[in-house]
Amino acid sequence: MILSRLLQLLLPALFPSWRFFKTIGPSPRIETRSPPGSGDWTRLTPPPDHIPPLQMLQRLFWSPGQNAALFRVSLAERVLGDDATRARQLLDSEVARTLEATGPFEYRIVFLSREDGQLTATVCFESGAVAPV
Amino acid sequence: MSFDLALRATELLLAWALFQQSAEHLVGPRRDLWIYVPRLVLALVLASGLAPGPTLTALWGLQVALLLRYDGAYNGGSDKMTILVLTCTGLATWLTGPMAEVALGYLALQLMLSYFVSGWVKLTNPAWRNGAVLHDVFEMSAYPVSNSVRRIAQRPGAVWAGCCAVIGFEVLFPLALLHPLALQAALGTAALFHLANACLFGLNRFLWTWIAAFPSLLWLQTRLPFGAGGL
Repeated sequence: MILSRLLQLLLPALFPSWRFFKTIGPSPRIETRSPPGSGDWTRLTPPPDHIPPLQMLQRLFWSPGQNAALFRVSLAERVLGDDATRARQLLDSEVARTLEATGPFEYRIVFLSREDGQLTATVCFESGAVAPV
Repeated sequence: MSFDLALRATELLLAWALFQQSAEHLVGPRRDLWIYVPRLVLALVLASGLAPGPTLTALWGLQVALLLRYDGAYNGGSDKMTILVLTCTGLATWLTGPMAEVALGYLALQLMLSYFVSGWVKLTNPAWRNGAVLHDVFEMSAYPVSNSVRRIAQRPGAVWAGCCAVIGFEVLFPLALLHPLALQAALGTAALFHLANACLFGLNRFLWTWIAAFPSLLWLQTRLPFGAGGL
């Protein structure tokens, strides 16, 4: 079982397709609220308005937060795919860690896409209550 | 560039890429430190030049452990390139003669394809040629970018020029193999391309992992029929 999964993960790396950005699909955003069912949804790690050039250079060498954000994007896409159990566990854990949650919370995944030239936001997943690990 | 020099340069650049990635995880979940601390130490051992074969093998094993830990890549294409560089460099170190050259040559081939194939799929897509895809990358992609970078989407001329530059560079990249100076210029341009992606979209790991594969292509160019002197 593990060997089969390992091959599924390794082969695309050893024989890559390199088809970066063929198209731009729906783009996920994660929103949270805590405790579950309370108040408005808040975007997890909203983007800064501006990043100064010096900070941009510094991020070439040290950028754990941005890379964790990229991992959450990847997990958000996997959660909606087949065999999403492991992705769901990982995303619960990553969101809890980012929130530094000490109590129950919930999150949802909103996908931005372009339809008829307009940006539209669609809620594609709601976690329900999650207890911090 | 000789085979030995290319291999050593790849080891050094790979060591830096792995050190940089691993260091970022030292502030992450404690349960992952059993992978990242040894990976960081092994990256330093690789840079030192001591026992590169066993070191690369151990690093490859840790990379596989990471694949299983995250049930896939943590950082998309940069993780894939990391595995590819680790695999090819490890094989080139353990094997001898022509087989070692095949291993490093495969890395060079994949590096070239990483530009050409991604350029070709853009060239054949009308939405890339008219700038719509790059516009959407700036406006709505999930990359952790600042709002000021997102506003680049509101400058259609700049976006379209960016599309043309990226497609042109990527599709024409293989022609750089025809002359050593052209290849050096192409790899310099590629490094700037990755630097821009790192600054604009936060893809810092792509910069270091792709650069780690550059020496393989510099070596392969000298092994082609038109050789070091160019066509």
